[in-house]
Amino acid sequence: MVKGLLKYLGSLRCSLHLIISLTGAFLIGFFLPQRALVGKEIYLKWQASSPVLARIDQSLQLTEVFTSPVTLALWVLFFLNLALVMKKRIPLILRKVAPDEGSAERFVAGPSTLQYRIELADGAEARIPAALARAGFTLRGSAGSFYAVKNRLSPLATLLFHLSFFLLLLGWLIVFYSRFSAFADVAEHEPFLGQLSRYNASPKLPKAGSLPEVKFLLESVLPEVSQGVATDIKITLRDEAGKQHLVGINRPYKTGYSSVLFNDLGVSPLFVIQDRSGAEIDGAYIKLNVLKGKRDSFKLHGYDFTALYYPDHFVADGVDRTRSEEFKNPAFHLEVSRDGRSIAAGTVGVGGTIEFDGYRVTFREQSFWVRLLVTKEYGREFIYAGFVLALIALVWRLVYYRRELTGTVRVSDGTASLHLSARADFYPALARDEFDRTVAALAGSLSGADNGAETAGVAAPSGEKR
Amino acid sequence: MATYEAIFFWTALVLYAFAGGGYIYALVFRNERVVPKLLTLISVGFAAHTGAVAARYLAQGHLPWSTDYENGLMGGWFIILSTLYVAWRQKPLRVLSVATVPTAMLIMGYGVMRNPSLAPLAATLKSFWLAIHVFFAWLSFGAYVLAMAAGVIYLMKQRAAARGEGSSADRFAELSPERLDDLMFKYLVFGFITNAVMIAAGSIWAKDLWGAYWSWDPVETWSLISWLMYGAAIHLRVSMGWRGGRFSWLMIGALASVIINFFGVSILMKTTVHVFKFS
Repeated sequence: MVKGLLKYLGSLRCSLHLIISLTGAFLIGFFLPQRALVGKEIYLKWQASSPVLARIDQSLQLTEVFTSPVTLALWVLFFLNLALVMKKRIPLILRKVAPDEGSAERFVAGPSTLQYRIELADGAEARIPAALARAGFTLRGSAGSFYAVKNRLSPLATLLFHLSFFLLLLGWLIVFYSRFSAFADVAEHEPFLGQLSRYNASPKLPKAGSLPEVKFLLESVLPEVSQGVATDIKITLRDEAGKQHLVGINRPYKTGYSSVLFNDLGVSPLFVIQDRSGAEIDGAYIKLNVLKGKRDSFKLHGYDFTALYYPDHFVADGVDRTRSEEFKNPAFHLEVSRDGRSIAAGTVGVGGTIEFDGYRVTFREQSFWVRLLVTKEYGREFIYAGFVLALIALVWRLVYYRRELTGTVRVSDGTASLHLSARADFYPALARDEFDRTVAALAGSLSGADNGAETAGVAAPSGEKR
Repeated sequence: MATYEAIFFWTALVLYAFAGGGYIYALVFRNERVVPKLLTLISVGFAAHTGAVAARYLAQGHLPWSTDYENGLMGGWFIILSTLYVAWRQKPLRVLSVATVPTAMLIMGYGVMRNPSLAPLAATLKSFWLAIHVFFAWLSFGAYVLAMAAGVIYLMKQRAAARGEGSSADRFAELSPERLDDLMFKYLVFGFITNAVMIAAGSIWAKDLWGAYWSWDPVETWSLISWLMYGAAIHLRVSMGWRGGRFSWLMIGALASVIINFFGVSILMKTTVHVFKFS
C-alpha cells in the first residue's frame, strides 16, 4: 500500500490532481471572505448577514483557507510530488541529453516523424557533418549513419523549472520566519527611533532574526491630489547620518534588509487653547483620522473635541462642504463637550478660533502624519533567483525545444541518397516548416542543385498535408 | 473620453463590427473572396484604434492601463495586434480573426460601458515594474485569445469533417487540423511564459507598494488560478496527450479565467487593492 501511495505521489497524474486541488482551495479563498484580507468590519458584517454559512466556513477553516491545514497539506504534497517526480525523471533526462552514441537507437520513429530523401552529388557524403553543423545540429556517428540533435540540453530545463519552485519555497520559508512588519504613525518633524513600543498595536515579530534598525526624522510630507486621485506623496526622511531620503508611493526607503513604505496619510493640525488673557495653556499637534469624511475625536485641557475635516472648504446653503480632496483650503468643524455635555461648535480655517467656557481654541497650523509600514525580512535573493530560473527554464524548454534527425546514406542504382527521419518536441506539425527549410538547405549543399525542391520533403505515410 | 479619442475609438469599433459581420457572412455564405478585404478593414480599424490610444495618452499624459475602460481599450489593441501579426507572418492564420475580432469588440464595448472619463494616473500606478507587469499581462492575454481562436477554428473544422463535408467545403482548408493543434499549444506556451513574467513583475511591484511579495489579494489569487489552469493544460498536453477537440475546448474554457481576471474581479470583489477603478 505504501509502495502504491509513493508511486501515485511520484506520478504526473498526482501533480495534476494537486494543481487542481490547489486551484480549488484558491477559488474558495477568492469567493469566501477571508478574515485576514477583508478587514474586521466587512468580515463581521458578512458573519451577521449569513450566520449559518459563516459558522460552517469557520468550523472548516474556509475563512482562512490560504493558511488552513488542508491547504498547507496540499502544498506539502505538491512539493513532495515535485521532489519524487524529479527523482524519477533526473536519470531519464540525463540519459536523454547525454552525448553518447546510443542516441540513434533511442530514436524511434513515431506517427509525427517526417521522412526526407536527398540525392547526393559525388563526394557529398563527406560534407554531411559540416552541412548539419551549419544548420545548428550536433552530429553523432558517421556521415553515412548518424544521429543529429539541435538544442540537445533543452530537456534539462524541465528540471530547472521544477528546481525554481524549491528556490521559491526556500525564499518563502526564510521570509516567513525572518519577517518583521509593523505600522508606525509618524507626524511631520517627529523623530522615529525604531523602539518596539513606538509601533502601532501587534507588530509581527520575526521567529528568527532581529528587529529593523531604522531611525530617522520625518522632515516633511507633501501629498498631491488631482481630480480626486492621489497622484503622489513626497515624504522626506533624514537618517542618523544626516542623509535625506525621499519616500513615496512605490518608492520605499530601503536600508539593508529593512524597508519603510508609505501606507496611509492623515492630517495632524496644531490646536492651541488660550485663556481669556491670551496665555497659551495647552496645545498639540494631533494625529487625526479624518480624511474622506471620517469623524475623529481628541482631548485637550480636559475637554472633548469631535472633528470633521474639509480639505478644500466652502459653505453652500449654510452647510460646510469640500470642493475636492485637494488640501487647498483646510478647515475643521469642531464640537466641544465635557462630561457628555455639548458646550460649543463651529468651523475653523487655519488661524480661526472657537470660543468656549471662557477659553478659545485656535487651529494654528495644518500639517500631516503618515502611517509607515516598516518591514525587515531575508530571503529575497532566493525568491528572485526562483523567478529568474523559472522564466529561463520555460523559455529554454518550450521555445528552444529539441529537434532530432537520424540519417543513413543508401546507394541504389549507383546513386547515393541520404534518408532522413526528423522529429521535434511539442510541435510536430509546425516543426515541418523548419525541417523543410533545413532539408532544402542541406539539399542545396549536398546535391549540387540550386534549390533542394526536387529532393526535399517526402512526408511520412502519416505526415500531415499543409 | 477626449474628443479625438472618441472619434478614433468609435471608428475602430464600427470597422471591427463590419469586419466581424463580414466574417460571419463569409462563413455562412461560404464566400472566401471577401476575407482579404476584411483583413484590410481590420487594419484600418487598428490604425484608428491606435489613434484612440494615442489621443488618450496625449489627453492624460500617461498610457491607458488603469480603469476597466482602459483595460478594454488596450486589451482590444493587443488582441488585434496579435491577430494582424500572425496573419502577416502566415497568411492562412488570418482566419483566426473570426474569433479574435468579436472578442476584442466585446471587451472594448464592455470597457466603454464602464468609465471612460479621463483621469490622472494614481500614484500607485507610477512604477517601472508596473509597466512590465501590464505589458506582459496584455501580451499573455493576446496569446491566450489566439489560442482560443485556433481552438474555435479547430472545432469548426472538426464539426465539418464529422458532417462528412469534403475538403471543397472546408472553409479553412489552408490550415490542417494538426497545424491548428500545434498553434494552439504554441500560443498557450507564449501566453504562459508572458503570464509568468507578469506575475513575477507584479510580485516585485507589490513588495515596493504593499510591503509583501504576495498578499492573496483577489486579483493576485485569480491570476494565480488562471496561470495554474494554463499550467495544468500544458501538463495535460505534454504528459497526458490531450490534443485536438478536447484541447480546443480547454483553450476556450481557460480564456474565461483570464477575462474574469481582467474584468470580473473588480466587479465580484470590492476588497481588491488592485487599482482597476478610480482610487
